[in-house]
Amino acid sequence: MRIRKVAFLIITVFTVRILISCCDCPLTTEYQYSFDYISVYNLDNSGNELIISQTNIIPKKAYGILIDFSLLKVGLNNIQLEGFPVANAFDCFCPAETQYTPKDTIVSITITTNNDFDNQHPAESNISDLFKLLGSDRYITIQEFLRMSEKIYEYTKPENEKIDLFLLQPPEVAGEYSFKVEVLLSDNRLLTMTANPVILE
Amino acid sequence: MRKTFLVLLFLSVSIINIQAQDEYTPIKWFARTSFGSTIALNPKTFGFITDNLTSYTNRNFYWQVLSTGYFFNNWGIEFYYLRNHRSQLKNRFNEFSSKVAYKYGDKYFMDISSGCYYDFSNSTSSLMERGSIGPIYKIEKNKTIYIFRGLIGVISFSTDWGSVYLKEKGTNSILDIHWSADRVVKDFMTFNSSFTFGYRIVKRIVLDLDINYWFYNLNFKYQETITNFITEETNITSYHYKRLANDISFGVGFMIVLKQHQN
Repeated sequence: MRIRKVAFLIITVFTVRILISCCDCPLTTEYQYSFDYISVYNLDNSGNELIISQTNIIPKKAYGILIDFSLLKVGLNNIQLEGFPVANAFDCFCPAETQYTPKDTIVSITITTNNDFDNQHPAESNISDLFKLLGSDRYITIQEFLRMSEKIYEYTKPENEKIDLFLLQPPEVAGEYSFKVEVLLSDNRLLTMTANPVILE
Repeated sequence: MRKTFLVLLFLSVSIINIQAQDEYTPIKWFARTSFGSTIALNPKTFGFITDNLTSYTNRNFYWQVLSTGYFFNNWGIEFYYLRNHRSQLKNRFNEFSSKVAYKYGDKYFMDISSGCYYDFSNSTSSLMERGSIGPIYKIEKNKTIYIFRGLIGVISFSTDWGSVYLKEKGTNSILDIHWSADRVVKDFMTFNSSFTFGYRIVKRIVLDLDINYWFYNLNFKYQETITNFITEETNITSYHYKRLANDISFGVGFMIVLKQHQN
């Protein structure tokens, strides 16, 4: 009988210790980040590795645009997030102590070019529908990307975030093109940048 | 070293000579093991790009790990388990990669992967296995033994997946190709006839010469799925491995007589 009591006491203390340790999540400090500005580069995908073109002479079927979003830390929200909805020994996940959530989101990405692209896309028209991003099993449209683009960073915020846009429908005529990228954010800011003129051959 | 060998040889010969004086009683229960070479009488490769994803080979070595049989009189029953090995099976990934490179290498940059990659290690997945059971009949004349078998069993070998991520040179075009069999491990029912000539070197040990023949209906498919990242089209091609297959093996081994008939 005494052994049972001692065993019960030890198990109870051990269980309570597990529960307490699981509930002991540190406070989460939440920061906000914002898209500050963009840089745009011409990508050459003709080789095995995708590279930023140094020569700006790229096969038209292998052209891409790199949009480099510079991220800025803009706010601090001290919010204590619940470690878990139900406190039990099997739910011991604690969130990161530091989180960065987006203050604004990307509403649209518009790409225009200075030359006629094809019959449907004259000069200065939006050709963003000709660009796609590489997904795990297919190319995805910019709209599909924007629907899942909101990112929460844990522990550290990167200085920038990059996306690669691949031109999947090359221009009918080879020649020099200049691509202007406009990113509209949810706070109505418009980030604009034009890539260096590129010869699509 | 040479002296030790000569002493052991002398002792072995002496034991054999001494034992040879004995009157041998018929075998009742035995266990045996053997090793040798297995040859496919019709080619097992089909010229498909998936040929090297299977551990199915034209020629290999076998090791009959265990065989045990029991004679009621001259008739009996036997079960055996046999494994086929081939060192080249460990190169299956390289051979598969070479075939893929030959087909697509000119036009695409490739990232090839396959389940048979892991055959670089001492994995047993590169083996063929055979197990059979059935009636046996023996003719035993003092030292010499002839055993005839008519067995049924299963032959089994692995069928690994393969895939290649192809990025077209000079374009943004990407293809993803995946190959997989309709089942991971293939089992086929076999008819297996076999003959053993044995010579009793001592009372309980018999030297064997074995001939085995297997007949089975090879029938499985590999599916090739090609996905075009730009058009999002998927093309599926089936590679059908279908053939009435014949294998023959020749080997040597020894039999241990566990129990003899009482005279």
